[in-house]
Amino acid sequence: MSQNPATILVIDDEAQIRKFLRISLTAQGYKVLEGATGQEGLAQAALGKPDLVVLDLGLPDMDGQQVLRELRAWSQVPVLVLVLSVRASEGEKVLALDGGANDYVTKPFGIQEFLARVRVLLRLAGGVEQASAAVSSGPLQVDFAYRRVSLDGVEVSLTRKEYAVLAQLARHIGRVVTQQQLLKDIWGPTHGEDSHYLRVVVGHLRQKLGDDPTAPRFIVTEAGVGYRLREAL
Amino acid sequence: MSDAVRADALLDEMPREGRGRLKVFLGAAPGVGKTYAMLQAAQAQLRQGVDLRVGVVETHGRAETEAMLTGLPQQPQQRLEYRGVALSEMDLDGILAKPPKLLLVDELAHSNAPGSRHSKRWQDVQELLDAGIDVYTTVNVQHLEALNDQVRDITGVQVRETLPDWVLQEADEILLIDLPPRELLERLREGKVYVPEQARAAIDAFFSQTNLTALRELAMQTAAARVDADLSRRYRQQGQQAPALRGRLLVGIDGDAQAERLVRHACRVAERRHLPWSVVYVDTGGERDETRLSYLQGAQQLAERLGGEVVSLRGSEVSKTLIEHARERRASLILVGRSRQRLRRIWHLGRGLAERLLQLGQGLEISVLDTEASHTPALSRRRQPVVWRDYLLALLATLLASAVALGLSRVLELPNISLILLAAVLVVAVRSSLGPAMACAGLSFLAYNFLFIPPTLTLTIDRQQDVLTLLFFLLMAGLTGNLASRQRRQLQALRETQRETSALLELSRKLTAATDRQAVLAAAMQQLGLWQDVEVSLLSRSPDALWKVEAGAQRLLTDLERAAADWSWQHDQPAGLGTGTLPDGRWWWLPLSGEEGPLLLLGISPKDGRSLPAERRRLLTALGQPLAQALERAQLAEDLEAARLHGQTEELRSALLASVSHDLRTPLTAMRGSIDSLLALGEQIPLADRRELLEGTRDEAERLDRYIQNLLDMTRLGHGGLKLARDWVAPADIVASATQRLRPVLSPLQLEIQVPQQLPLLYVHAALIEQALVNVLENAARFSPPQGRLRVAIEADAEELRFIVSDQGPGIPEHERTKIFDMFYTAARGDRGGQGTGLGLAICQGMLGAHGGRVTVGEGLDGLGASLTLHLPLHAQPQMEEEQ
Repeated sequence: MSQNPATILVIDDEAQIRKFLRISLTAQGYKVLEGATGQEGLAQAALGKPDLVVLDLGLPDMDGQQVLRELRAWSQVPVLVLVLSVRASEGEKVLALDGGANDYVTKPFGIQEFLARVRVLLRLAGGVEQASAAVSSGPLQVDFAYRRVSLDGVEVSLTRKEYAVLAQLARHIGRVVTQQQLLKDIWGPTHGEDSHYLRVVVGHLRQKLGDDPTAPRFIVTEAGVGYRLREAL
Repeated sequence: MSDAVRADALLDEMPREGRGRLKVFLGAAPGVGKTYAMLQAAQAQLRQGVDLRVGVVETHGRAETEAMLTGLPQQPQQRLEYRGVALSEMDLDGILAKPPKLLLVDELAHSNAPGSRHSKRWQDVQELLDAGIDVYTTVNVQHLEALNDQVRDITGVQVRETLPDWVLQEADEILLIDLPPRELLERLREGKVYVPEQARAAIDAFFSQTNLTALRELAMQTAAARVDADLSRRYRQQGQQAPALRGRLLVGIDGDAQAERLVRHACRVAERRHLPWSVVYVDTGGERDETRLSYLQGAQQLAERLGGEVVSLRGSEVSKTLIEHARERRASLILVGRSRQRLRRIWHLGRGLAERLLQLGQGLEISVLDTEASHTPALSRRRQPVVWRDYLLALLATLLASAVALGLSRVLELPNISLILLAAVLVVAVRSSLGPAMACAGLSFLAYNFLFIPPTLTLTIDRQQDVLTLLFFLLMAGLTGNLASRQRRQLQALRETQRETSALLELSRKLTAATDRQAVLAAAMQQLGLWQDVEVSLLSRSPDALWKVEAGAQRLLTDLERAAADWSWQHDQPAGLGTGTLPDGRWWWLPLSGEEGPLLLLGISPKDGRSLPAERRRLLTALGQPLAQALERAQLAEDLEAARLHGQTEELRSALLASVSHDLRTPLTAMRGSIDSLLALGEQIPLADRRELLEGTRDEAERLDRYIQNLLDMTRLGHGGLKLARDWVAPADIVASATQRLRPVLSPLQLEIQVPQQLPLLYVHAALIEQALVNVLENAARFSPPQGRLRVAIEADAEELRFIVSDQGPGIPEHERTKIFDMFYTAARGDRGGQGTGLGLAICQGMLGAHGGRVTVGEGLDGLGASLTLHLPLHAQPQMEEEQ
């Protein structure tokens, strides 16, 4: 964050929400652009070329999904998108994530959570996937090159599927990965609905990583959407 | 004079609400000047400014009448085509669309052209009167139904266009237009009376002086009778004794040609003597054939039209049954016709019905009408299907009996032989009808003669006394045969009656048991469906005039049939086949009505092109009554249920509003207060306290969010819009997200989580179960003492999985354990229940219920507090892949 501050475009029809986001993000050192409607937001995106777009799905003039499509359509470099959505509309979130959004935050949200997600996304800066060879979250370390997972330096023995799931989550550390994505990538394109496979594998994973399922530190379940590997606390 | 009678008279006098007044200009013959007089009266009304119109007036080309017509506004006629001939009739619909105050309608007894709504003009007039339009009309005395046969006797012409008597009786005013016959004849000669060329001969016969005089007298009599009735009514109104109603007239009829005549006569007598009258038919179980039935129905229909009551009785003997009925109904006069059939005469040993009535009926007046035979066609031979089998049976029986008798002839004496043959006759009579029985009697007679009377094997008789024996035998055989076959017939008739009655009873019973509309319809269809020879349909009419078949046959209706159905519904009267209104279809319609009008329309259509007898129609009309009542009852029950539900919804709504108003405001108050303090006092508040205020605001905001979520969930539950998007979920995940969401609420407590390592997967809508758990946790947290223990545990067995939340709070007393889930209960408790959200537990139950689970309450931790358990049924665990 010390070099050029990243530009963040906030598209939300609620003036109050834009206000507190602007204040918080500016306090963190980001440059903030604003748009009150879908059209306005797209125009700002064309002019200002933001690094991250915070997009509210409940816009008055355009469907949030459509804005997402437009954003993705004409930008050379895929712009990062963090969507804001209401609770209990998991379908909407999944649709957005499938449509190109990188992560989501549920309204009403805590600012810490929001800023954490922004930070994680901006770290990608250009690439969608984690480029580095290894990823760590506190005591947990995942080494892609050697296909090794260790906890406090001690190697953890995982099955092929368990590793695949953890690796996928690790490549998107801090961000949500939809369960359909996991199932299709790891089990195959026809297994998009076999969520029980995933549940069991994650259960085993948690067990092996010594993670309490009722208060997990590493793998967090995003109900109805997918999973997220937490960064270091 | 009783008050009741007086009240009735006064009631009669009151203008019937909304009904038009009918003024009849009555004349003895065409040409006396009725139409002219009517037009004169109309002109007078027009000068007084009454809004009148001419419906239909026939001037017959007379100049004076034409002149009187000028200046009166006319209603254009409607044109109807019938068999290529253009006819014009009064435009009823046109008049009803723009009703005048007074309408002129000539020739009340006119028959309308086919295709008109009603078959008779007087029916049109009834509709006009119902619509509140006053009517002036003209009638010739020859058109009156009750006088029909008298007119025929006078003029020799049978008038077909008749008017039921009650129409005239209900008229508000009758004006007699009189012209002495000589003057009328003069007018005829002068060409002032229209005479169609074709009918000239008949008319000449009609217009003889004697005829006209007689008709004139008839007209005067009718008018006089009317004056008489008016007078006695006035007497009654004033409380004076007029000829009071005493007794009743019974007229006994049979299925023959003189029945109608008898009915007409009875009507006249009853009127003259101011008696109510009934037409009685006694069914002795005789053969029912179409001719008899049609005569009978004709007479019964006529009786109804003339205002008499129709009674059908069953009995073995006509005279006895009549007398019994007379005593029951306190009849004073019995009128019968003279028995024609000689057979009957002989049968009753030379005494006709009248004589027997005289004998039995003490204190009753018996009147016998002898009607001429000239006009009645001969009663057609009763054509019964000849059952050859029965005759064969007769033959066989005789042969068998003879054989047996022959065999026993050595042992038995001659008289006893006859008994065996008699037995054969009896058997045949009981098993078949009169014909074969008589045949058997005859054959037995021959056999007896041939085989047993000396000299045997010949038909000659030697001894004189044997002739007597033979004759007596024949007599006995005939008597027993007749008696036995009659008994059999009566038994059959009784059985049939019993079947009908029990069907009626069955229907009533079923209807009483039927609680809703569907059940009533089902019961009705079941009973009506027992009649194999008709099709039954029950229709309902939507407010925008669309018909829907509720039960029964679905047949395409012709326009005419549909029009009849519409008319029947709108006027709440039967219409269609067999009635006087739109009778050209195949359906008879009967409206089943409650207090506020028709509820359903019953349609009956005879199969195979048959007709619908009046008796059946009457039976159906009678059945219609309990049916309509049952329907209305079902309707009321439905309305009551809807009202109850509505009441419940209203209660819920107001409870909700109260809850919302309180539970939304409370966190907002705290938030507002904290923020205002910070803004106003800012620097003066120490940092730590400032932080506390801000954190408090945030917590309250979260609480508000949860409350709003509850509201949303409640509306979804209420509207049945809860769509379960089930997926495989790890129970531990639910606990994780619930506790995460409630972190600020749970932080002051000691939270214990007891979740086993291995748990089955749940197949549920995760968000809903999570919400349920959140509500329960919040509830438990609210009631927990500070630093109290709060335990969340999961248990699973083969059938179900349980989330158990236990606290150390005040607990829930036994009697409240079921009530806490009741939305009304918690909402009503409101403030007393702590921090609002009375909906939480109710929603919890709703969410679990939608998944097939439930919530139970139990004891808490260490004997304190309470524990709430969420039970969820387990689905069969899915197939897992093999471990790699």
